[in-house]
Amino acid sequence: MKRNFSRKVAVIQFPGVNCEYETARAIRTVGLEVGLFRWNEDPAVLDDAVAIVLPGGFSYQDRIRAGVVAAKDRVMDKVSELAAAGMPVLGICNGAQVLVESGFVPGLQWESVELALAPNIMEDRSGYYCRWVYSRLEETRTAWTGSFSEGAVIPIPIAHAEGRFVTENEKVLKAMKENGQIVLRYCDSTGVVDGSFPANPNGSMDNIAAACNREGNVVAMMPHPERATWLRQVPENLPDEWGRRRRKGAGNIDLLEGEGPGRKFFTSLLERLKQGGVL
Amino acid sequence: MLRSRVPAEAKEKPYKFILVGKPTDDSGFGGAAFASEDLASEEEANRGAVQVPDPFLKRVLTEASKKVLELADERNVRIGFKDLGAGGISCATSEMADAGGFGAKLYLDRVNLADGRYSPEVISCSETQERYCLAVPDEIVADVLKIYNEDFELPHLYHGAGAVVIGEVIKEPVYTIESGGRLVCKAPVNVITTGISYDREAKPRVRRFEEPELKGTKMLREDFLKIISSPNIASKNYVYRMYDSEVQGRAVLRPGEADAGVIAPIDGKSVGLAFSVDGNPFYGLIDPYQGGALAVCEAARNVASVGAVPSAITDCLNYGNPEIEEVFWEFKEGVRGVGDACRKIGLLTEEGYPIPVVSGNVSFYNQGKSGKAIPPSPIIACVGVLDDWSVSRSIGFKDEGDVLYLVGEPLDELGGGEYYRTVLGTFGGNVPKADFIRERRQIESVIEMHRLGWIKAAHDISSGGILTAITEMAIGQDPSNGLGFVLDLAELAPTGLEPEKILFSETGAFIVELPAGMEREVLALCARNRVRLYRLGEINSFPRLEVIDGSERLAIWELEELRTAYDSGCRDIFGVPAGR
Amino acid sequence: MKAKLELWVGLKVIDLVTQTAWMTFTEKLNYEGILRGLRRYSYFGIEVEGEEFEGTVEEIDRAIQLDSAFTNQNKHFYRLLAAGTDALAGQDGRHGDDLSLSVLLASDSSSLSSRGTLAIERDYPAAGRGERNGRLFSFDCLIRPSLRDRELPYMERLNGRLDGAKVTDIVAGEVLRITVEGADIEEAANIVDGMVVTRSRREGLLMNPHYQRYEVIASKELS
Repeated sequence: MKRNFSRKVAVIQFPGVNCEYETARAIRTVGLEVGLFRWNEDPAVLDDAVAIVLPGGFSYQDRIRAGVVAAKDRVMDKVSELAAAGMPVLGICNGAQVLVESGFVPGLQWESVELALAPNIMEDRSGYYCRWVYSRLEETRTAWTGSFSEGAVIPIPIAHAEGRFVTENEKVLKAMKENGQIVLRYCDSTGVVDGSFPANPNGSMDNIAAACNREGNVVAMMPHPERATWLRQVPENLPDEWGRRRRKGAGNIDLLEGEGPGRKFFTSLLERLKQGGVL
Repeated sequence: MLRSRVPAEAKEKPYKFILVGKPTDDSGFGGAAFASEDLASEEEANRGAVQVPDPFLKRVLTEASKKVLELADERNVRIGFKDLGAGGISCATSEMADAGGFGAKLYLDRVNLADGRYSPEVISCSETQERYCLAVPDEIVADVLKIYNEDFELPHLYHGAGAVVIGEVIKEPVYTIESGGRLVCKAPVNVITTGISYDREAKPRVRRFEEPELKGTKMLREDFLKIISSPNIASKNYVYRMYDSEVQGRAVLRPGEADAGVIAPIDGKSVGLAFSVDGNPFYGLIDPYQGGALAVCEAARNVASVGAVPSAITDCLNYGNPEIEEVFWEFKEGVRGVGDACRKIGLLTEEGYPIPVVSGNVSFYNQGKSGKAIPPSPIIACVGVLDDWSVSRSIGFKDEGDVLYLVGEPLDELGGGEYYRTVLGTFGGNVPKADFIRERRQIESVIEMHRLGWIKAAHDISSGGILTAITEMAIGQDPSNGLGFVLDLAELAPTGLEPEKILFSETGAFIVELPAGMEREVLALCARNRVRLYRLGEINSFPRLEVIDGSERLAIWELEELRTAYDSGCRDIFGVPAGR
Repeated sequence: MKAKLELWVGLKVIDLVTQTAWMTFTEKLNYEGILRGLRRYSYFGIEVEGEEFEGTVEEIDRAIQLDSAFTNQNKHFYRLLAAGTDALAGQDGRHGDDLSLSVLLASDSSSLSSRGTLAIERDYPAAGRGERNGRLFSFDCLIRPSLRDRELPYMERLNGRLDGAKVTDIVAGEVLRITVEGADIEEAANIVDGMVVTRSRREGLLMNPHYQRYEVIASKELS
């Protein structure tokens, strides 16, 4: 029976990803339909999808290097074709690593690998790190960030061992800045970007937390929007308006199931698809 | 509900055993001592027999198995599904067969093996991880194999992994294994599944513990800074950050935020689950019975602190060599304590039922090089159920003007506790004595307060007593708030205890933060539930903690220095200045 | 006395990373028939100072056995050698050959001969299987992070366990021993370079040049 992705966001399940279900749930929350695509299905069915999301986890166990084996999978030939044609594509955490190893981000030369998501550089620790951080919204022009206001300070969790954007070619960073391809930067709770740990949790160059391709339809982000989609997910003691809102919502399930700081990543997609007449 | 036993349908139609997962090797067998018949093969020598988990393979198996269960549903067939643990293939298949009233016939030649040659007993009994066994009717065998081997490409993703048919269910309750064409095992199936029991001697271990002389509160400031930065109390944030607390997106309260973790497991439903693990070997050292009993009380109190009803426990019982009479006595006492606690606290939602112990693990022979046994260390994990996860709060102070109450009361029970050990350098003797009725009533009271929507923060009293609990609540607040508290010991004068004992007694109790002006209601609830209640005071907006006794100030700390001491306490364990 | 040692650490159990790399090369990146062997080691190049050679090597050997950052007896075999002696040991196109090497110390001396542990070390799959049309060349490609900050902790760990000897520098990375078919060694080296350096989605696999670097530390033609 042929799979039907018409009018759906396709969430791709590589072997070893583990965030696909809450990612699908977060997308559905804004009113979009979702289909899960197992990595070895016939990629032709993705032609009908409205967007593609690569969720977080450990595709292929991070063998050789996080994201690189998935980047060579047959389905990515199709994702390359669709992304180059303008379909919105979001890579979250491991998904971001797949996009970087596929050369879709920054994609100055399409499919050329111009960046790496390298092992975290942190103070007094190494390896895997999970915490809530703050990120500042730098570009509202992408398919995934149009509903935010520019400069919005977004609390959002990260959980990774290789989240450090880095390049050996400084021209790449320069071009990304000039082209507006830096989508999110790590900052403190007031939006100040100063690069200190743990505000910048992994030493990412220029405090980059998310980046996009030239057109802005492909976004690679290390923080997890699906883990900040509902108010419930916000830690009670965050020192900002979201923390206060979370505390006020205690005892009220309807409030707590309401919007969290990360939902707009998905609302933006819905708006973009409506504007574009796709939905 | 999916069961692990061979389904009754196997009486009417043929069922097969399918083994799926990691290729079987000699995990769990003692390396060279259990090498295959051909010892000349260097490949087997000294590989070590450690069981190696593989979360990646486990993840793929989970997704594939979901599809298998969907298939069984679609075709309306019943299957049995069991994971392989101790005893490997033989244990899983015999238990699956016996539980259904059937027998089994296994063919070891069909088992997918890791590189190497293994004897039949190794193949049958090794403890290779990431394997499952399914009892599946013939009509869907091919489809099940396809899901694992083709749809999810198991052999491709992991060398040697896959699903294979290794045997069949038979109606006679006999268990046979064939290998290389020979019959290597044949026995009535219940003989295999019945355990061997030992009758061991137990002799009480007589240990003398004396209560120490108190030193007074002159050095209270410095003494408490030692406690708050000691390894058992200090912040474990450094460790929490190493693990993913957000995956699945269901976290309501995470490690470090409250006494139990809380998740909202079902979309659109208000039901919540709380989890806590606890146990104190110092209590067990002084009194093995109390060690067991208090571990249950503590774990139950922890889930009650977030408003959940303690609904099930699992245990991890760690002791020395049970062949030594005193150690076996410690074990017996610990088990008796756990059992009494479960029965007498009981399942709050089912009158007359104990808190069920749904599973467990025992680890014996834990001793140091000199042969000295570890202190009795029963560890208890408790699961609690919440009707409404939105009532679960973090322990941090919330608002100025809110009132802190103590539900319960400190008794002269500092034995084995933080104050005696860290400040006086001794164990003492008065270990807390579990009072199950009191525990139950206190737990009921705190859960009721949650249900009524009164609770803004709740924290149970355990290591380090009341002062530590209040400090942890102060430290846990939104750091931009700057709230503090003055603890007046005069409020607790009715206890008749010395100041240090009030501050550091580890008698089980709760501190709760309620809005101002609720004194009458709280008093009424506690009187109804027959629990002690003390009004400790109001949260203020001065970022410090103070202990006074009437008009005398005993100590004062800035919130910042408490936070620093708490955060940097991990320095000695992890070698880092602060645990960010 | 100053010396340079090399520590080669391999897996006793099946190496899934190597297996996956092999499958990715041959099934997805068109190296079927060209790639003839693949093997992976953890590699440490250790510069050490000490009183005399034998004693210093003994100390280092003891230290690496005790520290699981270097070797874990449950899953690793290892060889500790004078630098340069390993060069493509066992790479003679025949599986399981026991070649003579100047090996100073072998791992797990209870079971493995001092002449090496080549029976366990094998390519994925064994080099030389199948039709051979061209010449075979093997390359030891050492892949390391570009930043040295990952290597210094290894030095501290070792020095923490040494008595008289002292480690003055350490190189830590992975060696991928790649065997390919080619017309001559230059062509083979180019092929290997294309396999190692990830330049685009469909070119390269083993390292990402934006945070890693690599060098060929040994190469030879197989007879």
